Amino acid sequence: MRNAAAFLPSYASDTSGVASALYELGGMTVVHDASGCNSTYSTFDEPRWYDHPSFVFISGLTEMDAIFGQDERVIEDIVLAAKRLKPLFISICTSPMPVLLGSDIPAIATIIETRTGIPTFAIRTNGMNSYLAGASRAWEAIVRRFAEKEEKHGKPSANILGLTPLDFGMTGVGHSIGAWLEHEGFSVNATLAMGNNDSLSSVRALSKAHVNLVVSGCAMASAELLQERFGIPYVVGLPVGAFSETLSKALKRAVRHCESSPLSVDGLLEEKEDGTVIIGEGVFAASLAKALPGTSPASIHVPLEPLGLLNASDERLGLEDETKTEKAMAHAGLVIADPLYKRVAKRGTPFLSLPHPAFSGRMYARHVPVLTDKDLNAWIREALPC
Amino acid sequence: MLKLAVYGKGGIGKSTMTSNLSAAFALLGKKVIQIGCDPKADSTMTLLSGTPVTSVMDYLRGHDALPEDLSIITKRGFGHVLCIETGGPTPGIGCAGRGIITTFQLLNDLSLFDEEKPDVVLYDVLGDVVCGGFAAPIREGYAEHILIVTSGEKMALYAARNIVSAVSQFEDRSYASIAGILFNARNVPNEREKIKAFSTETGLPVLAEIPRSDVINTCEDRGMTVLEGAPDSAVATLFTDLAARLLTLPPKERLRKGPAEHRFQEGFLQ
Ligand SMILES: Nc1ncnc2c1ncn2[C@@H]1O[C@H](COP(=O)(O)OP(=O)(O)OP(=O)(O)O)[C@@H](O)[C@H]1O
Ligand SMILES: [Mg+2]
Repeated sequence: MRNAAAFLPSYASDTSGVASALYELGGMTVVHDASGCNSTYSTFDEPRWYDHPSFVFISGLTEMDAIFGQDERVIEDIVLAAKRLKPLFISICTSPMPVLLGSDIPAIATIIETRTGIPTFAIRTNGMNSYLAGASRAWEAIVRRFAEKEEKHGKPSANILGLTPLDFGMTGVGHSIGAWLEHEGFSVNATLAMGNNDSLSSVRALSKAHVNLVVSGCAMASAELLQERFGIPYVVGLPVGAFSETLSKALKRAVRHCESSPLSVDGLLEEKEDGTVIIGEGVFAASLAKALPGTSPASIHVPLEPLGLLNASDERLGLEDETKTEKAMAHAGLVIADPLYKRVAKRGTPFLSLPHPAFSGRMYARHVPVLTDKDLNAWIREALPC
Repeated sequence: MLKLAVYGKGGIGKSTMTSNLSAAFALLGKKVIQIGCDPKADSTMTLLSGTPVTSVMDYLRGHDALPEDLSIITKRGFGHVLCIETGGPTPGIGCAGRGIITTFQLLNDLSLFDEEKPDVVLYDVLGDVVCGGFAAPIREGYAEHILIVTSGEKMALYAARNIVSAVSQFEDRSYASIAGILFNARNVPNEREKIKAFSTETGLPVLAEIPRSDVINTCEDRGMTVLEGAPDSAVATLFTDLAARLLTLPPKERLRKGPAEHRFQEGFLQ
């Protein structure tokens, strides 16, 4: 059965992706949705909720709003909240209901901007795509609206694009990647958008960098826009294990030749008897596969939009349903995936748990490792039960 | 690009006006798309000499997947006009407005405007804007100018008035604005005076007066517009004249200035 899942949860949705991507940028995010759903976007999917305030709201859409098309109520509520809270911008996205109703969110945004003078934009979501699509569009919108042309100077600098707790948890991975970049001769210009006191001013200054490092598919659209607008090349990948060296070279090449490189999945799709199978977000999975020690690289599966990957249309890459997921793990010598995937793996399959907060939420949040700091050999040895 | 939406009471002659205008634009050398936004899917009939295009909703009903390219849901008609019909659900069930929105999204996804690069796009819409879907053609990014078709009949003017007030409610949304009235005569008493009064009351110009004409009917019977079937007739000249004047309409002033991409994100209707 297509898309059927009895044991596996679904990934965080695009609306959560929007809220997460914009969380630290000083704006207000409104999800046009029924009352009660806010806990999904801002607590279940948002570990920062407890110690870092942010303006994430839902509109509290009612049946009567739907019948009468009471956009004015939503508009007034947002205008009122904005006048009180004075956010730096307002973003509005939608759950499935307004999508089916065909609510004109860009028009609503225009009205709100006219009334408040605060930059307001609609972000296209429908609650049916994954967080990657939402975060991707949110950052694209932010870059489109706020990035300015700035002079570059000094030593080569890089932006880190694609940091959210949905992919990386609250692990300080940004600092780890930053330290690696410094070690490779790049200063860190700005990050999108977690953990570095990011604010809109760093978005404005994104164009100061010589190159963008895209560490999650979430940042692909913004990276492409920055390239189109300001000619900044991007390199896709996460600096883990042996792959760090390749990535460092790619960054230097990108700066020299102003050339972008998405992450290739060549050689990562063939199933190998007793081989390692990695399941997860595309950039992460492909980077890890290329980083693992040993002669034959692991094979990867990406049960999400394969953003940032080259030749991603190959049908071996995706995992549309549980049956395919089960099959993907059937002949594996080792599976590396979120622990919830264990539920559909054959008993006894060696399994290395790599919690992915966008998939298992808070369940294993404390166990999310920072792989960018690790000696992968040692990590695998330690993490595998003998 | 000139982007027009035609509204008016049911049966008043919207599809007739739209198709004849499309044909006239085409004969003026323009690349034209006509999109029928009516569940009846009969907007482009006189451009297609009786062999209709598969409506988008009919396609979607019969297939589980979206069409891969435009050719399946488009058809070239007279003057190379690209004809599209949204179609709709079986009357009495489903949601026709949602069908229009889905169609528009699909046309975006298939890059209709980028592929075709038309000079003129005409949307032939239902007279009664009963829900958000029927206003979709006048949202930002779609039509910029609205033409209201009316006769001097009471109910036609009533519908026209409703359309004017609906559109005025959309003012702060940066939707299309009304360019004027197409007076399609029904030969009721004092018709011209009534239209004139309506024009004065609303401040909308009468852009053309199309007489009740047998030529229109006989051409329709042959599956043609008057521009195809009776190009030398007086009424054909009226449409050519109107088309030429519409081509000089200035682009709509938008509420919010600045690059369009700030306001309108391509493909937003979903
Ligand atoms: N000026 C005219 N002279 C003669 N016949 C006309 C004229 N205008 C329209 N008609 C006829 O009136 C009928 C209805 O016209 P048409 O289908 O264009 O209306 P419509 O507004 O599109 O209707 P609907 O609301 O059902 O879509 C047609 O048969 C058409 O030929
Ligand atoms: Mg009609």
